[in-house]
Amino acid sequence: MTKQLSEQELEQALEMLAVAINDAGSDKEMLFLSKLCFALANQLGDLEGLEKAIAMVNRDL
Amino acid sequence: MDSPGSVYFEYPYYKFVRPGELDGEISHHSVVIIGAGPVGIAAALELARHRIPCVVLDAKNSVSEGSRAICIARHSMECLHQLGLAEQFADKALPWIYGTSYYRDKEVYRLEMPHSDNERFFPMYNMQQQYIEKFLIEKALVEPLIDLRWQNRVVDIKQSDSAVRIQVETPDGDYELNCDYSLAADGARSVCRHSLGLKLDGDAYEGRYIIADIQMKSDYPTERRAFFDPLSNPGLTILIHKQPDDIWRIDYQIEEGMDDDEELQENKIRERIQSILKMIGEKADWTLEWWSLYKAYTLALDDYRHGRIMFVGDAAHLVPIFGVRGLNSGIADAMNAAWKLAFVINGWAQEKILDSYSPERRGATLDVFDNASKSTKFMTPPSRGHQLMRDAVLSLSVSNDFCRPLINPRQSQPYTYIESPLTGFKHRDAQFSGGAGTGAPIFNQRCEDNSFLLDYIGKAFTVVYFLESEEVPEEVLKLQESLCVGQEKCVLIIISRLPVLIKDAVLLCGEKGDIFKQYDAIGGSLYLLRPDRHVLGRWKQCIVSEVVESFRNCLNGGEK
Repeated sequence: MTKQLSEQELEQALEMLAVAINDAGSDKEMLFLSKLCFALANQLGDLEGLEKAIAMVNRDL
Repeated sequence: MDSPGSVYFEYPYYKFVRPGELDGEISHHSVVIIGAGPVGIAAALELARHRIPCVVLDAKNSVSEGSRAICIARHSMECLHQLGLAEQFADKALPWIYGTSYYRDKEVYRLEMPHSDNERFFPMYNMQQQYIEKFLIEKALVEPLIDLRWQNRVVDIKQSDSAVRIQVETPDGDYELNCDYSLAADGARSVCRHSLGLKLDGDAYEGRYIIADIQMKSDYPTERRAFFDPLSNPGLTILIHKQPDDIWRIDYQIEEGMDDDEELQENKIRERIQSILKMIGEKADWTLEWWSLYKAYTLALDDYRHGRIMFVGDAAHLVPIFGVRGLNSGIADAMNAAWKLAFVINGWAQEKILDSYSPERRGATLDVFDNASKSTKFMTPPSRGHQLMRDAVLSLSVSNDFCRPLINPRQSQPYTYIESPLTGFKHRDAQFSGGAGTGAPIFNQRCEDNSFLLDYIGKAFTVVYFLESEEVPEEVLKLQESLCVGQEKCVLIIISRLPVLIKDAVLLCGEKGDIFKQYDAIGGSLYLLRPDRHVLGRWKQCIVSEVVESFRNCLNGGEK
């Protein structure tokens, strides 16, 4: 069972990402998000997990 | 035909000689090769090495225009070494090992191609295709077995069960040529393919490049330089290579939707080149030598053999330049097809051996596609998603290691024939945990007297036997006879820890532990090599009956 964030941690993560996206600036937004995805995919270390995350995110896109 | 202009290269003029057929001479040839490019001539030279005569036809009267293919990989140099040309190539060409990739103004990847003191040749040599062709042709012109016919344009090719019929146009009139076998080496717009109604199948990539050569003095070393999203070509990619005679190859991507005509205006090209030179800090004067528009493809015939006609080089497949495999896989095609044809014509092998050509060389092409498409998608992302992720990798790689390997251009590596119908006793390969695998080309080794292992291999088969005791078993010595092919005995190379007395075989001393370790060998280990240096089979403890069976199986064309 992969570790999930607690509610409090989710709130913190939301804030961290929002600030980071703003800091990147609108013209670097996409590059920032692509880089983050790839860095996190590497840290996750599990392709099946990546596939599941992609499927989950695609729902209701 | 007017000689193309060049600031540094003198295009040779090859005379038209009126062929005997125009005066009623009836002739039938063993082999006709269509196309005198580097692949066609390499095939002609390899056939001649096995004493098979051939006719080579080319519509032109000189070498190809423009430097086109410029990177010659080590494996190709070993082929040229077998043809007696490597020294001339190595004298002129520029060897290299390294490359650097940049994202914007930061270095993100350092390429280092595998190299060791055990190799005679560097991993890569840069030289213009005009020189490549010129050197090959000069060798062919003094080879009596090669009948090189210039301004002989092939317009049609047909075959029956027993022969190939070729229609040729010349300035003096048209004639027909008949032969037993033909090699179609007539390039991307192959007339042979057209005549036979064959089509290349595969993908075209969106990205377009201007390929340009300039002459400019510069001290920058011979290294591959790749620039992603540089200041001088924002969002696009640039590749720079050094060539002999102060010639620099600059490949730069042009934007999609850009008007080809506009981009191909000379003043526009000069402008772009000037801004690229400014970016890399080159201030010297320069001259524009040549340019062309390039698009990447991964296209191949479904089958490289059609009866008596075998397709080699660009006539059979088109591969992207990224990874430098076009010429290199073409030369490997030529050597593969030529030795097999020679063996069949000489009566040393069953015609069925020719069935192995396509699985071996088309297999190699698919491997190239796999690697080249990865590097092409990286050099020239085919979609927005690919573009975003490619840029993510580049940006991450400025300060992080984990995804730098994705920037590797995946340079040309020789293919392995382990899955070939000619390869038997595959399970014996598993006994090794190092060395050149079954199907792979044998790699070189420097000997104690500074000669090299590959200097000693035979024209036909070669056995490399590792000895730790005082005597070579009689049955191994006998392999020189039992694996002989026509008048060609099998060359037996003994690698021994002790200085022993051996008649006829080649003895290389391996007192140092190294040479045994390189091939993961012990006393009794044996490598059996094909004429093209690929390992037909290897045994940790040789079983002579299997070695002989492996050899026979190869010449019979393999298992059903």
